[in-house]
Amino acid sequence: MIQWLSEWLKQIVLLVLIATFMDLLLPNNAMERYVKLVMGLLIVLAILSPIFQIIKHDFDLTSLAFQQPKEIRGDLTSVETIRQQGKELQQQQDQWVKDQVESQLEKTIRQSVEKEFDVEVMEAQVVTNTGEKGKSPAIRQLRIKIRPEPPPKDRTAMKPVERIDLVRIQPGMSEEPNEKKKAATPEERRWRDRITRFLSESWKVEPRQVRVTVEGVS
Amino acid sequence: MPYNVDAIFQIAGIGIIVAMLHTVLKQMGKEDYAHWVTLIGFVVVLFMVVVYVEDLFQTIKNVFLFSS
Amino acid sequence: MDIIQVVGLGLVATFLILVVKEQKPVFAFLLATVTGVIIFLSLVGKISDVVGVLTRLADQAKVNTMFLETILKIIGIAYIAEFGAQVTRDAGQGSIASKIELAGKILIMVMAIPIITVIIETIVQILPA
Repeated sequence: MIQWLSEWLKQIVLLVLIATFMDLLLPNNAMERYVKLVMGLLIVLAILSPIFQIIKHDFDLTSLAFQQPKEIRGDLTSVETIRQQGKELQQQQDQWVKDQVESQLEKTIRQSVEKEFDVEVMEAQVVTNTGEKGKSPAIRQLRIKIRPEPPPKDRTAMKPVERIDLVRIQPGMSEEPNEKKKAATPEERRWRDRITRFLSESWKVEPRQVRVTVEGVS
Repeated sequence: MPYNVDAIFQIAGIGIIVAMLHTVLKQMGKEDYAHWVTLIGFVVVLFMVVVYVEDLFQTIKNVFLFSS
Repeated sequence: MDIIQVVGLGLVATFLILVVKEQKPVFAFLLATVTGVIIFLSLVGKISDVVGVLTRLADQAKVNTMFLETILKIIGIAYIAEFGAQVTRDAGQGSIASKIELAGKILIMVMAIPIITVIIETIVQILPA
């Protein structure tokens, strides 16, 4: 009983409080009297609400109250629906933002890597996690597949070294391709290290989050 | 915090320039051009104002009518 | 310090309006409208905070949401009607302004009608026929 009473009183007190606040918020003009009247009626309704509960077979305040406005303002969807729609929209928005961020990042990374090194970026992939609401997305994983710049340039760059090597190991002619293959691995690793360092420095991510695949060092 | 004060200066600037153009054109004896200039300036400014008023209404709707 | 910004904005706008008004009164009127809109928009965030706090309080106290919604709608109608009426009155169309106000009043009263209905029905039921 006491609890029920306190509930009722709380409701009335809060309503009066809110009404007063709204009264202060109101633009000062002729509308004031009308607004006051309506607020007074609302408070009366709140005070009378126990009586409703006693005599009334459950009547629904909301259904009564919103018959009229519906006609006036066209489609006035309920707050629940709007919230739900809002949530859906939020999700869509988040997904969209994520996609956008990822593709943007991919583009930027591709450009910066290509600018920094003499490589051709075959594929760049960024996985982000949106994190909590309001936080900007963070990079979770960064995958990049590169191929050192097409033959001509590469060859000119490498030639002097190779030539010296070739001169030295002249006798075993057949070893040459083998040697080349072996050399490719440190080469790959070198590329991988450099690019990983570059990416982790410029994007502030952990080196282990970066995965670089080097393809076909020619 | 001021929302977008530039708009005020923009509108005032457009108003003054249009008024000037109007006067100049009138002095040159091209009355009809002067009127066209005024009309176009008015439409441009009206468009800006409409954008702002739409923003205002939307905001009021969001704050008062649909938040519960 | 917001008040200083608002007042400064108002003063600047007033001077600009004075300058423009001599040449083109229409532009002065539009300028006044935009100034009003901007001032309101810069303050609406705070009002929205207040409303948010009240809403939360009401939610916590389990006030019927219909009450709060009605109140908020009334305030919204009052604000929009007020704004429109003032703009039209500034433009010298007093009659249209009063029509807008009338519309606002009627809409507010319409919102009150369901409440009145409920109250009167209850009273009729309580009283022995």
